[in-house]
Amino acid sequence: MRIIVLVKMVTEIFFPSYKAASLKEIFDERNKRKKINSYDLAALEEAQQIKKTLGYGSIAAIAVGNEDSRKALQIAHSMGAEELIWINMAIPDPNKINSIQLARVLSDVLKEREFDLILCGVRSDDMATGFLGVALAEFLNLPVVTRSWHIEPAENCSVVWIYRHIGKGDQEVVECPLPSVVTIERSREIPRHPSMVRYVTAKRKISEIKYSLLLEEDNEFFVELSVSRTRPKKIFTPDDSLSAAEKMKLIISGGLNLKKEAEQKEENLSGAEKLYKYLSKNHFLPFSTEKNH
Amino acid sequence: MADKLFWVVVEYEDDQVIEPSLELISELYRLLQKRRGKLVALALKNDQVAQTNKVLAEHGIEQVIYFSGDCGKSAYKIAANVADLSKREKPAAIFAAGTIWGHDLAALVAAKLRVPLFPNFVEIGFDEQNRLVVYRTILNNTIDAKIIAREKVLVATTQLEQFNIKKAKLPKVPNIVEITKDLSPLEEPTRIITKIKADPKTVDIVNADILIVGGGGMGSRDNFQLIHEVADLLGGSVAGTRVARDKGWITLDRQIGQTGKKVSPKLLISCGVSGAMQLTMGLKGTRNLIAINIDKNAPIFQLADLKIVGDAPTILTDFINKAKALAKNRKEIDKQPDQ
Repeated sequence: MRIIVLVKMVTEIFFPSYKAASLKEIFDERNKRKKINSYDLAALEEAQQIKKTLGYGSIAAIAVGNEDSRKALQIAHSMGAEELIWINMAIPDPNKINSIQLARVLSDVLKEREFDLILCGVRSDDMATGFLGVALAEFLNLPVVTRSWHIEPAENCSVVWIYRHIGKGDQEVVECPLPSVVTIERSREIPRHPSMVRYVTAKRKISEIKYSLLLEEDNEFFVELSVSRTRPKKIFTPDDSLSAAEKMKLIISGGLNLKKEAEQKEENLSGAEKLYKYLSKNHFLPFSTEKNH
Repeated sequence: MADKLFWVVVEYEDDQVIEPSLELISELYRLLQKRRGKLVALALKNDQVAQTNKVLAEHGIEQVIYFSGDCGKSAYKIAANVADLSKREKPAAIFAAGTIWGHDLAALVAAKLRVPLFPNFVEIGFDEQNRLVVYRTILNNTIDAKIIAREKVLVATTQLEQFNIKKAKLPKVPNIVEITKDLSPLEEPTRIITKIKADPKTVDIVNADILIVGGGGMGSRDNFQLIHEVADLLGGSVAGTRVARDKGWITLDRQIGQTGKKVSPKLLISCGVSGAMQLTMGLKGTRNLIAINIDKNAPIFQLADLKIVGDAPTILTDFINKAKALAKNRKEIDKQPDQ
């Protein structure tokens, strides 16, 4: 199975925004560092696990951007990727670039290559749009499955079974034909330790594709950056239509509506019986004496 | 592009519009109140259409477009329909709640329209030139990105728990449009094999459907074990009050209330919980509340759907015995051949 993993370097800021007077202070070299996107590391590890399950396969890592991106490829190599592709292009301000532009560039390069599976992190640690994988799949006209934490390949590599999160702790298993794009959550295996030797030798293995298009600020979407300011989260306020007394009652109850006094028709029932009856009536009991309910 | 025509893709849970969708609609209604704009909801047609229309209208929706074709709850198919419809109707912006489904859907719509996605916006407004502006935070919440869509449609999702739900001051009767045939009759390339429910013993209490909550009225650690037994019987999760945590019966991640978590289960049984405001503000989303307390004047009873006055450990012990006997009975009935 030919697996392609998209990797990128992200910016990590150490300086708290409430202390910052200007953007310059936040972007000061002492207050930030570059690291590989943690979700992309999970994608690299997933690629390794698929290869291990099948007993064969190849992993190619692709990074887009300036000289910094080479470091992401070095890390990818140190964690098992065999082929390293660097799409060398100037990005004036990585914080203003939108994923649709990157997806277009990547699809141009990937159209020329053969592959079975494209893996990428579900989002990046810095921009957190969670859009690149979906946009790339659309450009390449491939199926896409998001938020995967485990991928099981079929023996003949025609399909993969993808375990994905669907919220509230629930999961679903999706059968996906190949080739396809899958975005990876970082909740399965801890990525392996990088090999220092492979990290150093990676530089010689990087094949460079020069991309002449200069990614500039998109004129259709204006983006301006500023120091983040503190915003209140959702706060509870009673409805305007209520009277002052009702508003006060609602505030005192913490936002819960007071229930009207229900008529106690079955006074002779014990507490346990009342509880059982209520649960049974509202279908909360997993067992019941009625058959085939 | 139709100026100030905003679309909201509505999400349901058990045929009811979810809170994050209402948060989004309320915020957009607030924004459009002093401007001439139109708020349109896009929803799947379900069995509770009248109720859905009522809820959406109450929060300021003027038109509801229902998809009743063969799209199911598939984000893939709905996104294709929304994208196709938007090419025709040209809304200024398409919004969805920042849930997993909402994000997937918005990403697919944006990709089909070849525009960027701006997820988790924390603020929305208009600038001096009357252009729509959304703000989202990036780089670990240190930077605000101000985004203005100049020509193309803006596709965005909200940050969860960011906006208040408010009913509209002047609700209108919504205009209903039904799209009976899929605009994009696509075959979904992927297939769901199975769904795996979260284990109630390990699931985060914020996500639990059934919660058994114990308070100081349980008396001792041994009695608190009854809470675990009831949770096992009902397939629910265990939670507790601040008192229960202080006594070491539960851990911090299972505490409800002001210093704990805010929960929204379908069923919550509070046992030996008085119902102080610090706790009840964590119960706001509860649909069915059963209160068991020895003090008939406990504040929790004012909020309960079922009030049981009595000693919580005794009532739970009786309930466990009764439930176990009935469960055994049920197994025996199951063993009998069908008649």
